[in-house]
Parts: sequence; C-alpha cells; structure tokens
Amino acid sequence: MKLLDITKEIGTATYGYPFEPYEVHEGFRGKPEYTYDKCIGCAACAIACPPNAINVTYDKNEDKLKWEFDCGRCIFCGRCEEVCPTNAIALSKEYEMAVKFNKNDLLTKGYLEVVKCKKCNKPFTTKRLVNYTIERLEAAGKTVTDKIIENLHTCPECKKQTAVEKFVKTSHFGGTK
Amino acid sequence: MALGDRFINKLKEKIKILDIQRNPYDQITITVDRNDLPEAVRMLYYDMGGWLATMIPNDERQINGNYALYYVLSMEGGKMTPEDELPQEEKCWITVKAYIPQNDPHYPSVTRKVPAAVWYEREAYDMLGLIADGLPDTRRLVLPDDWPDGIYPLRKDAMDYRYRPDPYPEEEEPDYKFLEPEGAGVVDVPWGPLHITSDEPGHFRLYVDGETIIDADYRLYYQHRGMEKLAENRMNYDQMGFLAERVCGICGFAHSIACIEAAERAVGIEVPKRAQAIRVMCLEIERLHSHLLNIGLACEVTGNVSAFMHIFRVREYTMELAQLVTGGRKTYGNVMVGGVRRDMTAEESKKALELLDKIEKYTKEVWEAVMEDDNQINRWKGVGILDRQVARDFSPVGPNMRGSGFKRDSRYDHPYDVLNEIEFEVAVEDGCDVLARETVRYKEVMESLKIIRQCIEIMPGGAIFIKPQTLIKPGAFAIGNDEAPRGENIHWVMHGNAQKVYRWRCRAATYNNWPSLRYQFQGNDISDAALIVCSLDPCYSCTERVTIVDVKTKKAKIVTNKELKQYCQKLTDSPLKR
Amino acid sequence: MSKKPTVIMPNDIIDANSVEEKLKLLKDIKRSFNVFRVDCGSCNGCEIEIFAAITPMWDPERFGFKLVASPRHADILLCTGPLTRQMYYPLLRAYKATPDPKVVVAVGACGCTGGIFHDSYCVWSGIDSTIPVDVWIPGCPPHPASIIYGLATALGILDQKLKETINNADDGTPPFIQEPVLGTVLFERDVYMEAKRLMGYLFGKKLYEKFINAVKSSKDPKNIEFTKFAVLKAIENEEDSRYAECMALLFNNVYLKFVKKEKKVTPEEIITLGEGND
Repeated sequence: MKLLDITKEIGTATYGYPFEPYEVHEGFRGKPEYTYDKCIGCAACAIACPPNAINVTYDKNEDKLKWEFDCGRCIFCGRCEEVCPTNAIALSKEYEMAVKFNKNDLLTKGYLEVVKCKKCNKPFTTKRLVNYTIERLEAAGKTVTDKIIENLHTCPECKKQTAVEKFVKTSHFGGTK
Repeated sequence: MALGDRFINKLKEKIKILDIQRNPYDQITITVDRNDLPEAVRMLYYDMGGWLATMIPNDERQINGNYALYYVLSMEGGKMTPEDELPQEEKCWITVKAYIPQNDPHYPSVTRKVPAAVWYEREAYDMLGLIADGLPDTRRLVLPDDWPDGIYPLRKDAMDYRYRPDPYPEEEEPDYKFLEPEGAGVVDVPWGPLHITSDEPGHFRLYVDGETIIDADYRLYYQHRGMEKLAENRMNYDQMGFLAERVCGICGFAHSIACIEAAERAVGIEVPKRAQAIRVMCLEIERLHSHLLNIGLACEVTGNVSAFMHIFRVREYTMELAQLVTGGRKTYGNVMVGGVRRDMTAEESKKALELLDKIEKYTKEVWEAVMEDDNQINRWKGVGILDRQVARDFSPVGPNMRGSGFKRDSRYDHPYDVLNEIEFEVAVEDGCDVLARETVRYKEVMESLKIIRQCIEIMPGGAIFIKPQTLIKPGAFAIGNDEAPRGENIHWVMHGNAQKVYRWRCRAATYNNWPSLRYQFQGNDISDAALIVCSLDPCYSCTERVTIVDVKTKKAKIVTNKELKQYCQKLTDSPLKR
Repeated sequence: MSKKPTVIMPNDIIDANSVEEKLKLLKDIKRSFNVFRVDCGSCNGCEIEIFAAITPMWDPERFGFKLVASPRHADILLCTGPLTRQMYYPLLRAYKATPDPKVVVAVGACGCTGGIFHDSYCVWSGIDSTIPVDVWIPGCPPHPASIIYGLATALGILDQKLKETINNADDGTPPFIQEPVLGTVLFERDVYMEAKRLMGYLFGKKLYEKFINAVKSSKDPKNIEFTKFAVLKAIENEEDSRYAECMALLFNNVYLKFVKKEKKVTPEEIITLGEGND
C-alpha cells in the first residue's frame, strides 16, 4: 500500500489539546501532591530524592521544621511516594505545571512544630513524629512508659552521651583512675 | 579448565601474569605489568578474537597507593567470517589490569597496536592525568575548553565535586584545535568550534575536494555534565539508576539497567525471575521507539517527510506502551538494586499484547510502503560504507556493526537476565551501507515485538524484589552490559563504602562508533553527510553545525544543518555554490 | 547554593526587556510566534519531546507556532539542558543575537534548575543562572502536552495553574492510625512490606487495601478457617489474576505465619490457586 493510501485511511490524527482537555494514561507520573496533614517530618523523602527537590531544614525565624518541594528540580521518579511511611506525598496525573514570571510558584512548603531535646534544648524532630511514634507503639501492643517518652524527647547526640556515661559507670573502666 | 583459561594460557607463553581474579565466573581480571599492556591487549584483540569493550582508569591510591587501568575485552571471536566465532560456552569478558605508580603516571599507549583505544586513552588523560606515551592524538576530549589545566576531576583529591572555576569573558573564549588532513595546504580557519549563531553541541569539519569528502574531524562532548564524579559523591546505589537514566534521553533505560546490574553482579545478587523479565521487556520497548525514531529521521533527511510523519504516528503507540508499563514516556525509572519498582498486572499484560499487535501491523505497513519507493532506496544504497577491516579495528557496536555483516549483539554474545530462555534472531545485513543499517533496525523492531511477547508469556509469579539484605562489598567490581538501541552499553562499578560507589564508568554505545565515522565519510558526497551521521544514530542534535573546507581552493565555509539537510532532501542548490 | 557565573548584561538589553515590554510582545505575537531552539547540553530527552510536540499529533502550528533557523528571527528562545560550561558562550551569543524584547522559556528540570545535575562541576545549574528566564516548564522530560501548555501559558491562551503553597497550621496531631485488624499494627506492617515486595510501591498499596479488606470481612479475623474462606471469596471476585495470586501469597506467607506464630502450618490451611504461582 502506498503512503498516500495509508494517510487516506487514517484520516486526522491530531489531538485537540489545548483547545480540548487531554487525559493522560492511568498511572502517569505527574506532579507530586503533598498532603500536609499526613506529613510527620521524618525527611525520608528528602533523603531518597535523587535531585534534592525536597529539602527538610530547620527554619530559625519560624522556629519550625520546614519541608520544601521545588517542582522545577523534580524528576518525577516517585521515590518520595515509595518511601513515605504515611502516604503524605503521592504522584498525581497533573502535567500542566508551567509557571510564568515568578519562579517561586513552583514551590510547596509545609511548616511543622518542633520538639526540643530535654537535655540540650536543641530542636531535633517534630511533635507529630513523636506523637505518631507513641500511637504506633501503643497500637503494636507496647506499653508506653515514662522512660520511653523521655527517650523520645532526647536528641540522638544526648542519647549517645547518656549511653556512654552509663557504660563507663557500670563497667570495669569506670572505677580505675 | 575454567572459563577463559584457554586465552590466559596462551597469553602466559609471552607475558607474565601477576594475578587472576574471577568475579563473577565469566568476568576474568588478569593483572600485568604496565609495560606489557599493549602486547597483552593486542594478543587478546587480534589473535584470540576479542573486541575492546571499554577502558576504565581508576584512582586507587586510597586502596593500594596506585592508579589502575582496566582494559575490558569481550571475547567473542573475530567474526570476519562465519566460522571465526567462539562457541557460546567459551564467550567471556577478560579484563587486562595494570597498576600505574602515583609518582610516575605514564604508561605505553595501547592505541599504536589497537586503534580502538584512542578515545579511552585521551579521556584517561583528561579526567585523571594519566599520560599514554606514544598516543597519536593527545587533544582534550571530554572537558570543556575553558577548564583550567592541571585539575583532573576524577582524582579523589583534586577538587570538591561542586568546584566551578569562573568562565572566561566572552571575547576570550578558548579555541579547539582540529585535525587537518595530511598533504593538503589548508588555510588556518579563524572560526572557533562555535559560530556566532551556533547553539548545538557538536561541531564537525569536513575536508572536501569539490563535492567529495576526503576526511572529517569533530569536536563533541558538549554535554559533559560530570556524572561520574556526581555518582561518587552525592548519589547512593538506589539513586544512581536515576542518574544513569539521564545520560541519554533516547536509550537512557539501558544505561540504568547496565549500571545497576554491574553493582548487582559485583556482589552476586540474584534478582527474581519476574523482575528480570520486566527488565528485558522495558529494554525492548525502548528499542522499539528508538529505532522508529531513527528510521523516521533517515527518511526525513532524504526528503521523505510524509514517511517521517507516519513513522512518528506509529511511534506514538510505543510511547503509549511505555506509559502503560512504566508510567512515563521517556524516563522509566523502573530499576533499583535488587529488582524492579513497578509490577505488571494481568490487565496491563492484556493491554500490552493488544498494543503490540497494533504496532506490528502499522510498522509493517509503513515500512513496506517506504521500501516500494525506489527513490528512497537509491538515496540509501551505497552511502556511508563502513569497511569491514575498519570495523574490526575500531570495535563499533550496534546496528552500525550489524549492517556490515558482523553478528555482534550483546543479547547474543553475553546474554543477561532472562535472555537465555528467549528465542530471537540477530539481524545481520551485508550491505555495509545506510540501507543495510536501516534494514537491520527494521528487523530488530520485529524481533523486539517477539521478545516482548515471550517475556509476558514466561513471566512467572512471585516477588519483584529481593528480601532485604546487606548488599555492599567495598572494593568489589564488575561489568554490567546490555544491548541499547544503538549498541552495547558497558558500565563498570566498583563498590565503595557508606552507600556510595567508589568508581562508576559509563561507556555509551555511540562512544565506540564515533572514531570510525571519519572513514564512513570518505568518498561520499556532501549531500549525504547528514544522512551518514543519522544512520550512525548518535544523539541527534550533535550534527547541527558543519564547517566544510575545500582543500583545493583553500576556502572554508560554515554551512548550517538546515542548508545541508535541504541539499540532502532536494539534491539541488548546493550550499557550496553560493 | 551552587556557584553561578557573574554575567554582566548590557544595560540596553536589560531596559529593552522589562516586564511591560515583554507583555506587550506576547500580546503582539499571540497569533503567530517564531521559536528558536537552544540545546544547552541536555540529554536529548527534552529535545525529543519538543520534536514530538511539533509533529502533526500535537500540531502547534494550529495556534501559530513556527520554528526558525536563526535567533535573529526569533521571538521566543526555547532552551533545554542544564547549561554545561561548554555551552555557556554560545547561549550568551544566541541571547544577544535575538532581537529585543524577547521571551525565554526553560524546558525540563535541567533547564529550570539544573535538575539532577544541579551541583555538578561542569554545569551552571539551569538557564536562569546566565540569562533571564520568563517561563519555566518542569518535567523530566515534560510530556508534549506540558510543553504545549507552557507555550499557551506564555502567550496568555491558557492560565497558569500552579501557585506557591505555604502550609503553616500544625498542632502536633499525628496522622490517623486505622484500628489494627488482628489487635496489633505489626500485622499491617508485615503485610505492607510484603505487598510492596510482591507488586512494587504503586500496586502494592492497592494489593494491601484489597487484602486487609478481605481479612476484615472475615467473621473472625483471628480464626484461620473463617479468614481463609473470606480471602478465597475475595480472590474469586478479583478480576485481575495477578492481584489474586498475590493475595494468596500474602495469606500463606504473612497471615498464617503471624497467626500460627511458632506452630507448624498444616497443608489444609494453605491456599493453592489453579495456575500461575510458584
């Protein structure tokens, strides 16, 4: 069959977009949607993100944890969705993402209340994460004692210090000096 | 006798072998003294039927105080004649390794004996400062022209991966020295590699006599983004796959798989069979869209724009298939160390089979219509011949190679994943010209459809990912290979500690195809220049700007791609006559 | 922050390219505009999608798109790639050669911010490190419909959808945890891990939902016989054979082990399907 015959058979192949809506395939990896209420500030997404489009930092001015997503750096791989423990971020089918004149329109931010360490008073995690941990432990059948709650409000540095001090006190080396 | 011993014993007759390692069983690494390198590589290449797959320069001063060079050879047989091929059970990889002391970074160049090594040795100097004594071409290959001398990015102590020297002011932009053909009194052309309106990566110089091309040279690597250094510093093993995918936008997934498989083979991870089948399927889907793109371009470049549009229409179905299986049109992002990320439901398998039938029907239809067109065939016949001896010397890969009668295909020579259980034919043509290469691509599209169908059929149940386990062994290295649409992709990974690789070497298929391109140009008309480069199937924007130098009149002229293409399409109104 | 080059743009170019001038240009060229493509070291994924956006399937010529061969004839510069060092000089030259006022569109993650290469040594992190950019089109690579949307937004045919979003109302309440079906949330955790291992993160979530609902529908989730009946019923109603197979695997490998703890599993308790599992 000659090419012209094929053309006659096919007819018009053009999509109507942008004058008609265009629907992408089911499962298309479009813009990540952030559900602020489900986020606990664990930063798993920030660690997994290959281009560092998600950044989790401590904002001194607000005294809060800042979760920031830059759609301009995103590569739409879905790693954030894969590692999030609470389904707070998921890729949608959104493909209409262009912005004009103001690059900040590509940003999504979320601020979360922080917990300060009981020993050194430095902020190290979020209230939501601590409360989520307590609720999960209870749902797993564990009794949440005061000791556990104290541990949850101590930062990793101080926990390390405490462990070392305890080890030195209770072992042989502690007494010989 | 273990795999590869036949070759090693023959080598031992002339060369002292210091060490032999096998990891995995079909990748053998032999260590020799650096002065024995050229002879060892030459013996394996020419005498024992090997091909140069890749060469990795590595900074191992942190491990053993030396630099190291690894010449990887794929032992398959010379293949100049059908009998000259090794039996499947004997095919393997042999790596010739040599240490280079840090206070004396010299080694005898292998290029004098094996021409295929020329680009690798130039890159070893650019990135690590290792000097190949006797290398005929010592120009900069990879780094940009305004990069300061003496800073070698891949050395571990050279610089932070984010270091950025200031650019030159625009007026002082540095030049690139092009090679000139011997014996011709060519006027020194004052244009740099980039003209005032040029905007594309890749600059070619064609040396012509009248309308016939007698030689060519090119400046590439405008897209050097520093990926290997990035992988060593910021990426962990899981993120490396996404980085590798962005090496190239057309055959990206093949890079991703080769990279991850190299990391897996180094520590002997067994990936579940279902994941292997999905990997092979995604690779073949990529082949479909890439070959259709190339055939379409080859038609468009010779003026057959309607065929081009029809082929792109058929290609949209392959894009739909890719979206169905992986969720993305171009970047699949479907592989991680230990398996794949996204499964296929039974519903998707059914839809995929329907799409495959459509693709098969429409591709056949359009190809037959194109083949009925004698004008089209005559434009492709006899153009851009890749001589068999040139091919043997430079180790090109892919349809470029198979169009010259060599049965070289990574899926056939070194099968990976489930390919051992799949039946398919390697498409080979003897024409050595553009027509042969495009026919090879069409046949491969048909074979890929068969492979995808078989993958869906043999895909077992079970998991698509391994159980969680410790996956890293610092210092272990291996080769990952697969057949990308353009040819064999070889990646080499050496595990580091703390979740990062120590060294990742990415060798794309086209890297091996460029050095032999100048020979493909010789003897052809200017009108076919665009077509020859297209049939090589490089990253397509590399051929936008060409300088043509007439050796007789000693005049040089800048010709745009559009002018060249128009000449190629219409065969009238030569840009040289203006 | 990665280092950017210091570019001194001549004052006449800056003045000629104010926002007012650009808006006026966009209004003038709304029905017919010339585009010049600049590839600043991209991997070619974005180039191919731009290519695909020009073919008759999407046909932007309907609303006036025209590709030109020289920046001197262009209204809009369509730039891709993270701007490698080597392409820095040609980009500046192309920008200066384009007549003022002009509109610059950065396509793809690399063009917008440098993407995955944002802090590499050989890259200047995006087009806007060197020349002023007006429209950013994210994507890796962007779907041809995204590119058409970007151009339509630039010209004012369509409106921009995205807006900077700042969430700041936190009182420490954690996300809601469903009532565990067997009394401990460790069961849900094990099911979720195995579901993800079987079917990947996307379908694993759906598989998890289907299986947990099947277990919930049992008369007594802690009783093996009742639950086996409920799961078998769900498998029968399941249209997709892969989900069915994986539900059986979840029952055998996770549920049974959880409920039986150390005790041995008897053959009657296991679910075996007709075909297709190992």
